[in-house]
Amino acid sequence: MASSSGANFRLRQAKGAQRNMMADLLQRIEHIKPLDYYQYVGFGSEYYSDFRLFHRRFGFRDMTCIEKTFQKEERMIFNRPYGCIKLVMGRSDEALPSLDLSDPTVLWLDYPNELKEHMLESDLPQFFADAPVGSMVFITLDIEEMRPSRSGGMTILEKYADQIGREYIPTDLRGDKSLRHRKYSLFRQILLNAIEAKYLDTRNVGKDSHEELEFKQLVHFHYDDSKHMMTLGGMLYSDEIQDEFRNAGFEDLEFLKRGSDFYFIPTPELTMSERRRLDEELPGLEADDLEDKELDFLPPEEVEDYTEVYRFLPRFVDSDM
Amino acid sequence: MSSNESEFDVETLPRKELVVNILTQDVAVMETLQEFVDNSIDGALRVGSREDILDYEVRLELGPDEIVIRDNCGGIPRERAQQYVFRFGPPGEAMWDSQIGEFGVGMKRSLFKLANKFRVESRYGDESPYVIEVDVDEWIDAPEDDWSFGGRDISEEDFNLDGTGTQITILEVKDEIRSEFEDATFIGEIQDTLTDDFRQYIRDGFDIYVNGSNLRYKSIQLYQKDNVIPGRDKFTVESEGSEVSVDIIAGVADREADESGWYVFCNGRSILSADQTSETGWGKGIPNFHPEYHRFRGVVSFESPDTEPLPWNTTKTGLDTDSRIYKKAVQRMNSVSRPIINLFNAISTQKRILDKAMGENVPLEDIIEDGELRDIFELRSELAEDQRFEFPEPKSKEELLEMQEEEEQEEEEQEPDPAHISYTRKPDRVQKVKEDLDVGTNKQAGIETFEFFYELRIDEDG
Repeated sequence: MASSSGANFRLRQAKGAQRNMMADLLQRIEHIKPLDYYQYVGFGSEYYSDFRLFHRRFGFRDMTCIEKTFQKEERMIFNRPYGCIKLVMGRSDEALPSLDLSDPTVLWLDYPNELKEHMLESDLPQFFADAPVGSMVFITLDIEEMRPSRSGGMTILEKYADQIGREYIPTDLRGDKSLRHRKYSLFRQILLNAIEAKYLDTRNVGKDSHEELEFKQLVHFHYDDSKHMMTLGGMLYSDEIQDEFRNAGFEDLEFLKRGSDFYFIPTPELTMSERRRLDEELPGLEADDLEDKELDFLPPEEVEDYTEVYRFLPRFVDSDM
Repeated sequence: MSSNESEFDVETLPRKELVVNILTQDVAVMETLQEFVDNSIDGALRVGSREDILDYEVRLELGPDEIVIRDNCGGIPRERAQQYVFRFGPPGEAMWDSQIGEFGVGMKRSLFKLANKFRVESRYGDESPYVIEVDVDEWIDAPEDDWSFGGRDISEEDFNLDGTGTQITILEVKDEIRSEFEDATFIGEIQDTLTDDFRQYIRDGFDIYVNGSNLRYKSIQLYQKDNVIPGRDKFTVESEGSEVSVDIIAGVADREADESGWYVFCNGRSILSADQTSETGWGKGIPNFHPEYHRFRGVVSFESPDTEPLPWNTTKTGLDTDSRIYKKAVQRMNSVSRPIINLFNAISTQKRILDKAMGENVPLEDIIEDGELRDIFELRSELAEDQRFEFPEPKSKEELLEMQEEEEQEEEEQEPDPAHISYTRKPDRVQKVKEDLDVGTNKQAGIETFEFFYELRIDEDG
């Protein structure tokens, strides 16, 4: 599941910022269960950036990295940063079944490609059938690939139906002519529809209402390092953890998105020196202040983007070894 | 309304012929026999508990001229027979509690399917025995509004059974069906089908005889040992006030194409056997069934005192895959199967590395087969209600290849030391032999002549 094609993975600013935001979010699940109870499952690629960050920050010990490219096996073993990381070779739908997701789990399905049938037919069903309450799942997708312009003679919906299976197209979308304009919210709708109407609805059969599982969406990121990507993430919730969920204070996170609108992660184009200078004024710097600070030579929209995400942007001067 | 308009009745009474045709058009001969056995078991469960089932039996005597189904399963109370059992569409509140069959409909349908003439004799509890005898053509030809069958009391001497029970006799088998019962293969098929359908009841001691032979329990077995542990998930689901218990057990057995897959039971009655289709989840959440999965065996049992929420169709002969309880069960069945499929993937990988055919064992399979084959229902009392399937960590590619090399070396070493033969002959004669054999050295000439002799005299087939 390596996302290493294109520009150097670590130089992808938005992806890096997203990872740091996810870490801020995960920090708060401590209120639900101690963080070291969780297993982490992800597609680390040979950089293992998420594994490095989450192990250092949360002490996850039970970590599994899934890698689909068999030719990379030796490289993956060579680059493995911590002994506690288990490597499982195979596509996600071949590798995930070897894992027991009935333990508290943080699963990041960091797909480098567009939505495909096996994700809806195998990966997500397994998580939503087995994972216990308090588990987290993140689904990253390339939505650039599914641009309407590439859909040839088919309508965009026919194209999706063909690719993921007709049953996954929510009924209220069938026959909708305005989809072309709603592409960005479409994938969220498809995912949530499968999660709620298929996986969880079935799992909840016979459960008392306070035990009924829900998917609480917490993040909905969009970013564009070189391709337009989205990440939908959230927690398996039931009323049994109502108080803990409230205490976690997810609402305080500035990037929290619980609905169809998304948080677009900006990638300000500023040099390291400019950033260092701005950092001295942050937090609290407003675009109007630039003149006073003799910084009015900087493009205000870049400064605005920077003030929004500076805490999360990766610092490439730091060595991440 | 003007005064010359008068009221009149519109006739809706169905013709008996039509009812008979509608009832029997979709039922197969095999199903009629399944229904009779269902009814016998239901009878036994009404008068005793599931544990008492071993006291009961049903005997089927099947032939082209006469068919007899005789059980000792409690009989039918006279009042029920008179008012409900043979009625077309008995009132809902009069439905008799049935664990597996469809009492009433099933029996009438089966009788009409098979018989021109039939007789039902029964005795229930302390009541005196009675008989109901029907000539189907006469019944149809009788006045249109007379839908009754003739019943009468009989004396103990005329009653064909000891104690309580029911005997159904098809006195005259319909022409189009006679030939089926002449066919020994069909009788064999019936035995196989009933063996599968009533597997759990046979295991619990219920006796089914078909033309004299007692059907034997056919066990579904799984390998088990310390590091090969079948998976299980047992849970209960509340549905509309009644509780359904779902028990899923799956694991691995010997490679058998026809026996692998899921077995589905409702209240002990088999609904599906060795299913490899999407009905049991294959290709939906887990991969499509594949020949590499021929070791897979899984059983899912639904049990409920109230049959309504069980996931079977209205005739209790197939699954209702839209049932929410069934969908949930499939989700859990998928979860139980995933680690088993993972084992099959590991086996396939070993086959690829060691270049073995599908039928040849690799080390993982040897480990599995080293376990004990256990009856899947027996395992219920031992396995935890939430047990993930376990199997040993597969060896790495390097370890496997090393093992293979060692084995080959051992095999070579086991071959006895070759015997040496040496002798001398005149050179010109040796030369002629060499030329004839088209070989260059004396040694080759020696070997070739030996092989020539060996082939000719010792091992003629080469």
